[in-house]
Amino acid sequence: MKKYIIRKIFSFIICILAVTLFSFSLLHLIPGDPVRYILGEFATEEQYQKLKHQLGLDKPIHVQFIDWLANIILRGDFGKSLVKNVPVSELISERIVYTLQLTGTAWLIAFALGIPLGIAAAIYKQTAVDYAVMGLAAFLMSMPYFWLGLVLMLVFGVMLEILPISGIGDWRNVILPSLTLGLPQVAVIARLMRANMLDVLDKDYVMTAKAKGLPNTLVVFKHALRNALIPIVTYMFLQIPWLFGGAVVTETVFAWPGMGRLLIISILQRDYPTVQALVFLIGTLTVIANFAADLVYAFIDPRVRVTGEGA
Amino acid sequence: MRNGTLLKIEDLYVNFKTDEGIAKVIDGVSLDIKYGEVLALMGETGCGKSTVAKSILRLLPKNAEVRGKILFKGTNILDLPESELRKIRGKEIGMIFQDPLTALNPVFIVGNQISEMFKIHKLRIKRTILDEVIELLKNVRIPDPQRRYYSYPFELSGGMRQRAMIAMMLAGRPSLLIADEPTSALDVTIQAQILKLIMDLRNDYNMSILLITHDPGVVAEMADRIAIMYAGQIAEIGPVRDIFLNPQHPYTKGLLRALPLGHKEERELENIPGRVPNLIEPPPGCRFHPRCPHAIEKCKKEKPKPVVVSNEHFVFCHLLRGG
Amino acid sequence: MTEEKRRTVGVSMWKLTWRRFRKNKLAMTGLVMLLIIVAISALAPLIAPYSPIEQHLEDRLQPPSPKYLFGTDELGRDILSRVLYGSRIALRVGVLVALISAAIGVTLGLISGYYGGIIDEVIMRIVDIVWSFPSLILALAIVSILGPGLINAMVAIALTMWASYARIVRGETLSVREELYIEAARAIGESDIRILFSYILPNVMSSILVLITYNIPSAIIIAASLSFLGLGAQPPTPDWGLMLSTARTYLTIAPWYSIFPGVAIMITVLSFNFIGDGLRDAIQPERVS
Repeated sequence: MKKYIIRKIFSFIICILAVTLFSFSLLHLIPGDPVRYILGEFATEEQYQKLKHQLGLDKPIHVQFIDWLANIILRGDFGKSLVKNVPVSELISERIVYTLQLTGTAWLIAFALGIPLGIAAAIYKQTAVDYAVMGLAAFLMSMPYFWLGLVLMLVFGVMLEILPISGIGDWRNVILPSLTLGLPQVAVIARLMRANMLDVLDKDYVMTAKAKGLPNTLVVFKHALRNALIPIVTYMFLQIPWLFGGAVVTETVFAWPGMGRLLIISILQRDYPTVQALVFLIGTLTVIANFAADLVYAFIDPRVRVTGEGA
Repeated sequence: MRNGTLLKIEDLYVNFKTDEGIAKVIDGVSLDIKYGEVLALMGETGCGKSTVAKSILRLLPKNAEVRGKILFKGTNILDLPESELRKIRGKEIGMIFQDPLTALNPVFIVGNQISEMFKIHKLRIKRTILDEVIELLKNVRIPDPQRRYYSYPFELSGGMRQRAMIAMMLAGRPSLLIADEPTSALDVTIQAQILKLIMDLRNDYNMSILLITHDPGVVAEMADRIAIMYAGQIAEIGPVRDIFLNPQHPYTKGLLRALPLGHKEERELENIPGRVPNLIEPPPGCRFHPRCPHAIEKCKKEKPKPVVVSNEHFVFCHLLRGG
Repeated sequence: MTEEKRRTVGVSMWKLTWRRFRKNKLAMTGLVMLLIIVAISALAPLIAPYSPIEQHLEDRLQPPSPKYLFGTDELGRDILSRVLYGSRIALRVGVLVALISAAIGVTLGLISGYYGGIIDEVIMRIVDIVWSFPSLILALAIVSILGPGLINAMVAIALTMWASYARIVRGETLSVREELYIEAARAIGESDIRILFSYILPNVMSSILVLITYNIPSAIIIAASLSFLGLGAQPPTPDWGLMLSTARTYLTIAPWYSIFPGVAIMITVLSFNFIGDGLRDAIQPERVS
């Protein structure tokens, strides 16, 4: 266990470093002169020098990196937005709640529906239940988020007129965006759960459980499910960063004022400090989610917990 | 009771529906096990011996179609409703498998898996379930049972796992123990210990044993009677001594001729040319006829009926006339 | 194994795969769907009733009618013609991105597995990061460097998708590296590059093919998403994602506008996914439940 954790901590540190370096380099990887690129052709020399100084590009690169990182770590300061003239951290903190609300609801929907559907499909393998669940999953997984969002809007907002189409407001505004983000994940989890369950139901220990005289419910929900859930619990964490990825599109579709929408606007407006900050935050979140998944896996699988060997 | 019949299989047919067609895996098998007896079911991999074992407890997958009768203490197991079947599984008939690592659930401690038996079958206990389980672990000679109670299967050695598995199946004090290749996944040195343990427990618990194996050495040591299976049919059945000293079926002869060579299954049959037939389109009549050096026309058409060799010794072969 | 023997094994494996694939109804449906889409994109100029960029300003936002089967958009362009032409962009993007990312991933995987050591360590750490990063966010970050546009979007997507190839190829290379015939090839003086490409690559070809089949639809979806966000294809390109981006504005008054391009994306993606599932099951039949 100790060895496993140490190995994971080591790779955690390397990944955080890589994410930091990557976000920092975004500005420097722009082909040609980044200042010129941001300002466009018609900027004056004065504007040029001012922005260059503001971005710190007049200093040696290692000093820039240390300044950038130190500001983030010590003061939570990601610099100033080039468009709105306020600190980036302020822009983000205004919006982070909305993104968490959206991704959190989607996350709940994904597991609350995905796990039972997957179990049902596995138990009733090759029956109408299975075909219905898997067919639905195939369709959901073939729809891009933005189109699923438009279809839901069209059905519930335009045709049935029971839910608001876009923007923020009360709880009803959350429903369509979080369904848009959550339903494709329901499909992924249902498929994963079904595959795990079928795999486990084929195992010798399930036959042992039957040979012992256990009722079917115990065989399925104790002996099989406990094993089949291990990868799902890990996936609960691995999935979090992908929800943030999906949120970018979903927020744009529903005019939802979250971090994803901010990212797109910032890229279109060449507001690099904001882009860097968002990439850094989502990257860090990704690494943390992966690390958490590794730890949780170690905790719930006795084989890893005791020996530190992955099964 | 010693001479009564505990289990009687009559005309068992098992078909598996597969993508390639219907595999006729068991083709009219009949056999019986008496109280206290050890019957070995022997044959090559794929001959259906495991399928027979699993059909007794109805553990075959959903694509299996089972016909015939399996009478346990007079009741046909194949006709029982689920609820009645569950009272037999584990309680009346125990079963242990080839690989105890995969047969034990990796995420529960051994103690939990054994004590489950006391709960579901509402077994009589003297003090606590924990005490009973530790008693069982002692009976199968697991050292330090108090500690092993809390071990996960992967923390035990192969031999210990099989002992734990046996302990679990003894909890209900079954009158029949089905042992499906109980030692083939274990180290050679451990095999003998486990076999001895099973034989000792048979006496202590007064059980009958159905031993599934491909190893003639194991049969010679343990069994009272032996049934030789080939491609889903019984070839020959009788007391171990009779079969070993006086084999009648050409297949049995080939099987035993290789005996001194040792335990490697591949070697056992190198004297018989040909291979195990495809069970989707099995050879008609006696399924052994394509490989049989003495096959006659009749073998290709008719399924052989049992021929009495001596008191309990029967052979299924057209070449032999009764008498 | 001799070269010749390996080749015959290879041929019969593909034949066997095809035989199993052919029995899979869903996979064959996918294949037929894909062939139709390919035919449409090849014959678009012949079957499309109008030019995809021709504006009929007097017929703006018309609902479906015999004149415009799928209706018209905000500039009076025929949506059917734009959807038909859109298949060209989708297929081109999907296939090119998948092939580029396969090329990057396979090369890095071969290098990583064959040379091992510090090179392997570095490459695999990068693979870990790229692999766990949400592709859309990574693609967005790269687009923010390269600037918007369809070509840049394709490069960005290719740079997010290569990691799975690298993993598979590295694993296979590690296991094959020690095989006797590789030793033999080295002994008779074959160059490293030749060994990598002519001995190791054939062993992973089937896994790579399955991955490519799965990556094409993912690439199509991400590219459409980038276009929808305004960072991919630019007007007046008849790109499905771009069309939906405009359609969103007219959702209440022209609902048909939002339907047809989306259905086109879904059918295209579905056909590749069906083929991918069928191919995977045909290549590794033991995995089929």
